Amino acid sequence: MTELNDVFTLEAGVNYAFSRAQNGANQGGWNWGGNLGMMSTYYTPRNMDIEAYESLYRDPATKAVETTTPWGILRGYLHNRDMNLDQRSENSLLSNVTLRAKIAPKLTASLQGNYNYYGISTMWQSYGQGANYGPTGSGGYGRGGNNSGSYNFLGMLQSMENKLQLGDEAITVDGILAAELYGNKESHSWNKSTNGGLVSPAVFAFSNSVNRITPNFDYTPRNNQAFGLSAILNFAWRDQLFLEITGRNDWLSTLTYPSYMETGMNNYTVFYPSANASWVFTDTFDIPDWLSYGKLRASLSRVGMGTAAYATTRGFGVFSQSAQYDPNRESVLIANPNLGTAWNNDLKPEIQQSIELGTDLRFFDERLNIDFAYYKTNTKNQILTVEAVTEAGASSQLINAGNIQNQGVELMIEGTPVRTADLRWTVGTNFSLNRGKIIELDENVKEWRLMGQYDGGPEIWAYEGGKFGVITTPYNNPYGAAIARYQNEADPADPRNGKPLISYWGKVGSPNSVPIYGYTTNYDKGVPDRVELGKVEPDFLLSFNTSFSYKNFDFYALVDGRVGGNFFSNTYKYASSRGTLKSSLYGRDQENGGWQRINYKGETVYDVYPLDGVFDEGSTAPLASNPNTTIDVSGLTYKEALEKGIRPMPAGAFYTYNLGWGMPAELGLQDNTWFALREVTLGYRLPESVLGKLGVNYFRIGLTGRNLGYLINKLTDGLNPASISNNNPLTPMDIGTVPFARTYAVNFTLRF
Amino acid sequence: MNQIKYIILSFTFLFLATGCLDDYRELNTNPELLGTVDPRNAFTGATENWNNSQRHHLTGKYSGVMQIMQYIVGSEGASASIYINSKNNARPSPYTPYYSDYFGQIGLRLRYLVNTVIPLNPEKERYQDVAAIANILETYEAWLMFDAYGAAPYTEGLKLASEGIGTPRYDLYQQDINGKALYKVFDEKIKENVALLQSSNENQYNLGRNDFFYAGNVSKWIRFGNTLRIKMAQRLEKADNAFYNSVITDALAHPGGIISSHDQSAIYHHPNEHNNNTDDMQALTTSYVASRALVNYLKKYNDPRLPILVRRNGFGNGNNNTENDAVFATLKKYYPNYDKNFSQWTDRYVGMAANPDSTNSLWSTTAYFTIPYVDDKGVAQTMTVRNNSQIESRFYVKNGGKVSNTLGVREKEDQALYDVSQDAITLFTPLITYPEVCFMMAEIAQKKGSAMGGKTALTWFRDGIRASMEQYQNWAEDMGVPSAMNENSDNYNPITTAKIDAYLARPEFQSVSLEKIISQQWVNLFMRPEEAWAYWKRTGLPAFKPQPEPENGVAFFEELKSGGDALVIPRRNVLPTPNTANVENFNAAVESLKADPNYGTAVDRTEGRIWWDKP
Repeated sequence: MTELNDVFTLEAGVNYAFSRAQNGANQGGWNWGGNLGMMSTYYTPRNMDIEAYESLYRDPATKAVETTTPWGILRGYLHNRDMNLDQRSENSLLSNVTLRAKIAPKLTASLQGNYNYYGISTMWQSYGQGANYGPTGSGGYGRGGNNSGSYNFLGMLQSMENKLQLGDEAITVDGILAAELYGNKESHSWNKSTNGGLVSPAVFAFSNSVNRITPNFDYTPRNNQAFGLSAILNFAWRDQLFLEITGRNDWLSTLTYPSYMETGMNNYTVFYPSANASWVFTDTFDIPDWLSYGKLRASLSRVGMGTAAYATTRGFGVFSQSAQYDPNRESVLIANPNLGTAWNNDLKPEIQQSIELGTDLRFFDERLNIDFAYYKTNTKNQILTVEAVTEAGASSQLINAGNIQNQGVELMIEGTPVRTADLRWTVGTNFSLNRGKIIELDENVKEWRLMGQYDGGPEIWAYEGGKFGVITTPYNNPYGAAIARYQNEADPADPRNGKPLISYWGKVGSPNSVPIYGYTTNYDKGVPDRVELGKVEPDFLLSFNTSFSYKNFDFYALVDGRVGGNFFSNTYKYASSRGTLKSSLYGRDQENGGWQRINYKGETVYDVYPLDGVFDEGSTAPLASNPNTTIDVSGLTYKEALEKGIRPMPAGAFYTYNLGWGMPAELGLQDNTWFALREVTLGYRLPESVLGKLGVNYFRIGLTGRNLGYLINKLTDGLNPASISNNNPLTPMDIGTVPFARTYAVNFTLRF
Repeated sequence: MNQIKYIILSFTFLFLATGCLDDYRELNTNPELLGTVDPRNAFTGATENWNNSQRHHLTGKYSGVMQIMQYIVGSEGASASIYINSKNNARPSPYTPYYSDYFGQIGLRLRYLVNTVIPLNPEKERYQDVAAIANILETYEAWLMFDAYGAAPYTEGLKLASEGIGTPRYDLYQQDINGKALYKVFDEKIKENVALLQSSNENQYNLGRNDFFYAGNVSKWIRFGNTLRIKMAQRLEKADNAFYNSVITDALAHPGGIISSHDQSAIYHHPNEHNNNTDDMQALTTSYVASRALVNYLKKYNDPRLPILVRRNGFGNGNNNTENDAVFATLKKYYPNYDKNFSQWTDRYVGMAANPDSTNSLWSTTAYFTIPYVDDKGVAQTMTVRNNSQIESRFYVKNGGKVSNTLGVREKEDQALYDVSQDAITLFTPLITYPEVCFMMAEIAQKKGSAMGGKTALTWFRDGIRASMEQYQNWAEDMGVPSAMNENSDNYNPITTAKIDAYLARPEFQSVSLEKIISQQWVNLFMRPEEAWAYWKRTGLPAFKPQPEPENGVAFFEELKSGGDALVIPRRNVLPTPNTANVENFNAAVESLKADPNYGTAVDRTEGRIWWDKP
């Protein structure tokens, strides 16, 4: 910051960040063969010595990947891991300039401009699997990138520390008038890749492409801007009672309609006020010393928001046109209208209204601090896409959805049991609980699909009047269906009530077959409705932290985690049917609970899966003594039917036929409860004596370890809670797992 | 003073902002989306990749109609799960794309073209031909949908934007919401649009290269329209015989004529780059084999289409594949009497049984048969030799797929020698072809007992056989099938006129019968299996036999049993449940459908019949 003269001061700042990431762990999903978790549990048997195979999958002389063994997918994964490169670099430049002016003793003005530039650059290199990374026509090379930016101008007129006399009392009044203009810049993206492979293996140049290259370039113009005008008034009484009142009006470009849409309503302006008050009541009243500081706060605020650019055009029926090759490889123009979403001519801004009540209490000279807050946030007119009647002409529609609510509490407690000149020890905990609910959706729409069925698994829905994010089975679909349960209407105390219904599916294996008994699903019983299996939201989040400082050393540790909510594991779905997980040991031998049978060799073995189920009405099962005859087993439990002499099912057959793709979704549902040792940091500050000699104000070295491990992990079989497939908190699902990873960092901080 | 200056400045700022609405409207307008386009470009977009735009269109066809019509069988053995077993509750139905394609693409976009884009065009009178062709195709797709589903919101459907109908009522095939028989509405609509095309003049814009069916040739569209009327009427042979007769007479009398030659066949030619990525579609090469019913019929009468439609197995030389030849060499070495040990497979064309109960035999549960031997060093080894023939998948998939982690080197001919550049192949989806029309007319003439459309049943029948063979040879050459066009192929066996003459000289084909006509139509519809399904429903042919051995020029399906229980081929699709907002109209439609006792007791009882499918 520099003072230009008596009136003006100028501040400028630049932040630049650069990162490069290579070969990110593959999360699975349509690339199952690239995922490490699947490699060790699905594609190879448990006793596969992968390390031994790694040393012989490549010919030492020619570097060719061997092709004689059946381990095709494993060697494809290893080749990709060992040779291929997938790199992504990100640059971010944030610059800001602020000009301040002292206009009058109590009046200052400022104008601030921010500009952000964000650029991504990607590169990939792929090697062939043949001799010397060939043959010609394999492998490839490509580069790509994207740049985008945004800007923000903020002009403020401030009048601070004005005194308002009300009788004997003086009220300090601050007033601010602000205008803000912000939006995005044009963005470019491009990529260029070799076509048809490389001519000379492992030479990564575009001139080495077998076929002609057609680079791609795309341009998105500036398409989003908002202008906001706000007024803020701050009142303070004796530094104890504070009140802030604001009013803001925004004009949002994303809610305007193109001029050729004459019936568009253009609801592009939104006004939102807020008020918040806080009261340091310990200053007002005579409070005993042990309560050193106490503040109450309350706020009511609204925020108005727009939506994505061009959203108002969806479904209008304008055309996107491009030239393509016709059947004779000549160019022809093809135009398609953007129907498919019902056009909404009356999109309104979203309004989010929050009420928050909180208190900040500090005891014993700030040795014990408690901060508690309760909040209720209602988002009204949220702009969402829900399903519509396809037969009417659009399969989805853009609506302003009624009222979606998030309500919860947050509690922070921090205590400092030891505080001396040299030694200080602090312990703290954070607890937060949030309950999301849909109060109202739309007069015609009562349910909203958050995630459709993926890979034969469950779906995630939100219902009007219900929880936000429930995991359900799909509608009228045999895959991922709910297990049908026995229910004796006449006798609610029947011990069989609630047990899964099972039936005899047939025999497999030749020449010595085994019987298969499997779960009957609601779909088999002709019950199509969706069944709720679990929820997405956690019961609560909890974290613990402690910090410790002694003279120039400091130490910090953090444990955080969540309790409750569910997680669906597609990896578990696949691996469990292969019998490669610890949990699939159950029933395989005597020490793992397997029941007895006589196998085809006449030996007594203990590998009958202890299936807890009840045979459905009308079920028959074959006898062990004479497999060509069947007996009626309706209503018997599996155990009872075994006692009656039916053929027993070995554990391997149970897992193979009852688990795997399309299995009842509830079998793959996990309890998403875990606590991780999130961070441990050790730091050392150079003493002032040394600092003085270096001309430095402050110098600290820190060593940090992050994601060190899980103290509690309720996911089964070593699944990693961090392997969720994307950032969306409403789709807690893995598609392949990632290994547990720790990060270590060294940090230097210097101030001059 | 300064303060007032700043207050004034802030207010002007405010006014500047509110004047900004026009600027913001322009900012929020996507420059890449066009308000008006040439209707011909919109026609190409609306008919894009007709009924074959996504992977599941093909994979659904393989696992559905191609299996139930016994063209192919799953390579791990015939599955009972595609058929209906009255002993259990499952009610499968074969995949058809018509309902979702009509409301998602074809019906939606063609109606938009005809009802909005053309009327708003300043030269709309010159686009009436385009509108007529669009109407014919839209009606064709709607009819295909009703043919398999029985009901759909046709009259009130797709009218949300134009008339605000958000919950459309359903029409039934036999009665729309206005009380008129919908099949008559379809017939009239085709007739009207054919008349419009017939009266066309040079002032009308021609579709030209924007038409991937007929390249804009209006006279061929007229022939398609007339042929379509006959085909639609033929469905009502039993349900409304008067309508059937009147439409056939009327359509045959039209000066425009019907499809009478190969270049008049209605075929959609896909954009050249469509389905270059053969990933899932190559399942036809790897996960399916030819069925015994088809192979037996082609073998029995020395059908020249046999080497074009079916690939030889591994029990002999000349596999067009060095690895398979090497394996055969091993077989010959260790089993010098292989032609006696494996005589059931040495005539090279072997189909797998379609009967699920056949899977208790090892021959019918795998595409490759494992044979043990002891090698020269005395070590026990095994070799796998393909015993069940593949179907020629190049008709559906470019080059039959690419060697990758899902398609092994042994599954197709050596790529380096027998693959054609993907740029040189264009996939195609037949709608109604000339040989199909010959057999359709043969059946009509046969049932009438006299000549129809100028030829007797026997002439139509024999012309159809010749045409079908010529057609498959042409298609095979276009798709790069080695036995049809590569002289270096070990099995180079193109269909020549001499071979067709020899086939037609056979005693079985000197006379005609309904069974013979449908048998030939069945083979001919290999590239249109959904229509073969409709033929089977309407005629009950091919009939079932325990072993599918042809007799006197007639083909037979293999009987289907599972654990001794008789299996039934599904006869219709399940009407899809719409969004909950329209469930009331859906339920009302289901009740109306159930009023026909043949429909079934519930919407998913797929052994039930659509109204035209009278027993």
